[in-house]
Amino acid sequence: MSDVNIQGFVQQDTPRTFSEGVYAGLKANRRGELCVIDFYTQMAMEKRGFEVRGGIDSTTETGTNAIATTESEWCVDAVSGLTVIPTFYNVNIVTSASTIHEYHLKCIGAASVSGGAFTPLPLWADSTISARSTARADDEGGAVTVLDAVTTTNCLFTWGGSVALGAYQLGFQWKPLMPAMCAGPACVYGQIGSSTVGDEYHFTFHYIELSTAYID
Amino acid sequence: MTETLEARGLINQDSPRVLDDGAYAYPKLNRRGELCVVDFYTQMAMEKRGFEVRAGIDSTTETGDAPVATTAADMSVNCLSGMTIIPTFFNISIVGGVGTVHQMAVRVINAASSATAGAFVPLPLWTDSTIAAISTAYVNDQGGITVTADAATTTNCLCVRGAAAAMGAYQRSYQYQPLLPAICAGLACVYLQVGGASVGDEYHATLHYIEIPTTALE
Repeated sequence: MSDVNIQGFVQQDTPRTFSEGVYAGLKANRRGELCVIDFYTQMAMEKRGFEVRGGIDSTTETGTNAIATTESEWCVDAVSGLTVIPTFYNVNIVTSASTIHEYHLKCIGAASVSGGAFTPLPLWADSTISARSTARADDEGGAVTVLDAVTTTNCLFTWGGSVALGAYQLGFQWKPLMPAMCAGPACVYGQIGSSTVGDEYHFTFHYIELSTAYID
Repeated sequence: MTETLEARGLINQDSPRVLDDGAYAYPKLNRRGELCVVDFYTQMAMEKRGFEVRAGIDSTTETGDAPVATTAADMSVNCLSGMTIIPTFFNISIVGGVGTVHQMAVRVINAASSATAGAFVPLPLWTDSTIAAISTAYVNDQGGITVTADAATTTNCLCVRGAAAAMGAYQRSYQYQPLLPAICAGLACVYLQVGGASVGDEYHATLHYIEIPTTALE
């Protein structure tokens, strides 16, 4: 029996630029440590990351007055054959005069119904690859989705409060440890509401878009 | 005799491969030769092993217990013998908290819960998955689920949060996302207790977990 030494290839000063389909030695650093890249960063580098956002500078969007079960502020639709993987959601409440605040991030296996269209932004700044998913951003509950039900709809994140939020925490983030796999047809959507006066807000939502065949 | 081999992978970032189970394959590399890896939690989601139990719909909340009793819970997941569940995320938002002495905790014990109502079919975290959870669940507010008495010698407390006064001035939402997860090997029950001293809190909650055969771990 012979011993086998496995070698990597030390190359940290001048990154290689291999072509697709080439076999290559695994990259090692100056100390011989194997260089790895996590799934999420690699997806970004493959231009598979996209964003939907609401609010510009000091111009905010307005939430709905009491969340209705089919009303959302924004959504992303994955067509059949496409999977959307939510990776980050961030809401910033700028004005909140009302009480009974409820903010939800949900996912359901059905496309949204109506609302103002939004073209998803690539997270690779000058990417010319358009998202295959479609999106809506339409405040005051203008993005209409399929009825929320505990038997069909995932609640990925929820945040709430019972009094006027003036002096309190006004922003939150969600970054999953185990992400949802929103296999199309599917819709990921955000609801932002309060009891009497809609909250003024900004939001941003990031996700990966990947063909379902590459996963399942 | 010592043989020296170069560890090689396949540059494959433009057109992902669709390999079958049981195939041998070169590991994926990116354009710079870095090994592309996927973390355990994301892979579990992609294997359709992620599930969710939730409570509350839109502006319709659930109502907590008043007060929390040691054998009463509002949400539970029962893991059968031979299976293991791994809680990965718990999130609760308190919409109404007028009572005092608020208590919220997620706990684990090696005994099943029971309830006369409120059976909940765990939702796959893969939206159109046809793979049903083997674990079973209950969502039955106001402490409608019976669990084995909490004891410091037998019960894990995964997270706990409380407040002494009416919650107007306090943070009303809470998240648990573990670095070192609990491995709840069946027979086991993960359960949520939430309540106030005199008036049950109004809340939404969601619990995410992995379900995997214990033999795949141990």
